[in-house]
Amino acid sequence: MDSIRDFVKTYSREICISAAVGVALVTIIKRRKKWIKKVYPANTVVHHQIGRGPHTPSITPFALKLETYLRMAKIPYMNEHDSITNKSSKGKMTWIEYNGEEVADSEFCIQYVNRKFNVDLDKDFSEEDQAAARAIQRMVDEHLYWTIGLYWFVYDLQHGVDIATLLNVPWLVVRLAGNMIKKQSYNQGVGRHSEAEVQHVMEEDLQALSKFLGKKKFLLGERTCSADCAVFGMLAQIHWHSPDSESVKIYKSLLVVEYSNLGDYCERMKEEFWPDWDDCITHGWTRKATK
Amino acid sequence: MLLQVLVAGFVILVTGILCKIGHFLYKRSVRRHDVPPEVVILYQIGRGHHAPSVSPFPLKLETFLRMTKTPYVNDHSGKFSSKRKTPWMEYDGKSIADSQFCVDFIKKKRNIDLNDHLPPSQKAVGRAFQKLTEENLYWTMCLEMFGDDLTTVRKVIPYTGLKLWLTIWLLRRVIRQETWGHGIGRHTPDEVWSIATADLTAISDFLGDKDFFMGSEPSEVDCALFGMLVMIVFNMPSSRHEKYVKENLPNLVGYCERMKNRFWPDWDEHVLSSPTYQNDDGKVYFQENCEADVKKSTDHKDSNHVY
Repeated sequence: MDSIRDFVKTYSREICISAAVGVALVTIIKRRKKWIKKVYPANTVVHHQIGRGPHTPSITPFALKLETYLRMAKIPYMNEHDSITNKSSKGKMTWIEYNGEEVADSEFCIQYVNRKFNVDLDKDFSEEDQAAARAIQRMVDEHLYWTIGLYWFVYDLQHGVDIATLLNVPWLVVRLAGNMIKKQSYNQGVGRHSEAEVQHVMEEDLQALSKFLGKKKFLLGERTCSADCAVFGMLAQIHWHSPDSESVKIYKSLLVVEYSNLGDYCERMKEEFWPDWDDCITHGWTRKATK
Repeated sequence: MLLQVLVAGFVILVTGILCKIGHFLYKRSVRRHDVPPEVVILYQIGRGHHAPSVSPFPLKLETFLRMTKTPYVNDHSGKFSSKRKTPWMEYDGKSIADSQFCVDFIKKKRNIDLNDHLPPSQKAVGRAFQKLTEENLYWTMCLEMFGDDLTTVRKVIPYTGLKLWLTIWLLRRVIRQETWGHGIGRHTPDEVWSIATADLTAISDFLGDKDFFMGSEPSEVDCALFGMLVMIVFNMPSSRHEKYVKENLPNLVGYCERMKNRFWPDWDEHVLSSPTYQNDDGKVYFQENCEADVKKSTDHKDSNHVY
């Protein structure tokens, strides 16, 4: 301790200069990445996301939602798995680029793509059905999401689940993500509840999804609508995630009781829009995804 | 000499502030109402100038209590729950925080289900719209009220002077933090507005020309929707939300009036700007149900006696 103190006292000027140079270098390198823009093919949506997941094409529901939508609407797109270091202007990890224009947030990306490509997947549904589908999308993206996030990054850790290995991220990143989710969900509101209360509201959301779906093939009937992407993106995270996670145990116990239509729905969406699913996952980090 | 006067003045000021804070905290720590068993104590932040609350969640919960004729008293002291939120309630000594958990608790205790006439898929839609309203639309309203233009919020919060300034300053900071964590606070004002109009249009489209949200009879989701829409129609004068609803979605205005007439016939008594306003702190509502419940349990006891 004393020797460290002496060292700092003796070389304080050198330490300050090194720290300043270090910060400047990191800042310049990060900014340079933005200055040197990659050139992408014209008229192709570039979907920036994190890398492929172990059991689903993405471990973030919004990237899976957006990519499923691009496939559903048959939009020409390519993936760029760089958003860990190349985040959106809003500091999030799912965004798109199209002919030099950047759009962040999965819902705004969908609306942008609809305008640019003159697409409206929901136009043949009644206004009431479209309204109900929007409410389902909000419930899933603004509420169910937080319960799953809390389970993955906060409660699973407390239950001794090795999230770092499951998600192939360093232990420190899991801790930082957990702190971030705790803070964000506290501000949002769901994070102020106890684990039992979070489980309760998660179950209620899943039960509502199941009851709304009923015997239908997709949310609004025989054809898919844009909200199907949001629901699939979110359910996939617990349908195909590791059975060690408490979130998966809760989900699977509901499937067994009377909500099995959710599982069937996930399989149907995967078959319809992800015939190349096996090429888009890492199979538990045992191989690289080829697509 | 001057220095001594300044120091003395400073000490007096700090002591005064500490006493005020201590009194404020003490008031919030004691229970102010003794109520009969099975009467809900509903803790909320006090009435508003233009509506019975300046917040949607107390109004949702109080409307639910009225819809289900649950005996309750109001405590307008502004005491916060263990989750640092309001409203919350006490029932036979048990504290329950979060408006929806309060609703669930009452449903279980009193064996009430306002949705029992609905098929499962409609109950699901009701839940989804409640989440759309409370987890999404609500935040667009907060950002509108506490954004760059504070004219509207100054008209609505029933405080004046330093208390008003401090309340707004504090709420702005909290909302900035909360909406950033939520995600919606990262969007531009125009993007937030597009989210608000999409949500309001969805609510209007689903309501259509029905009397209540799910049909001809009210259900649980009506409490949440009414609580939120009252904010727009009554508590956000000259805001974009108010203009948009009144100019484009008149069925939502009609819906608010219907709910108000049905469950708040005494609305004017709970609005600060009304000449017939009365402070109802401590007044028991639906006392007859409380006595009926007590009588029911007493009759049951008597029937066990062998004479």
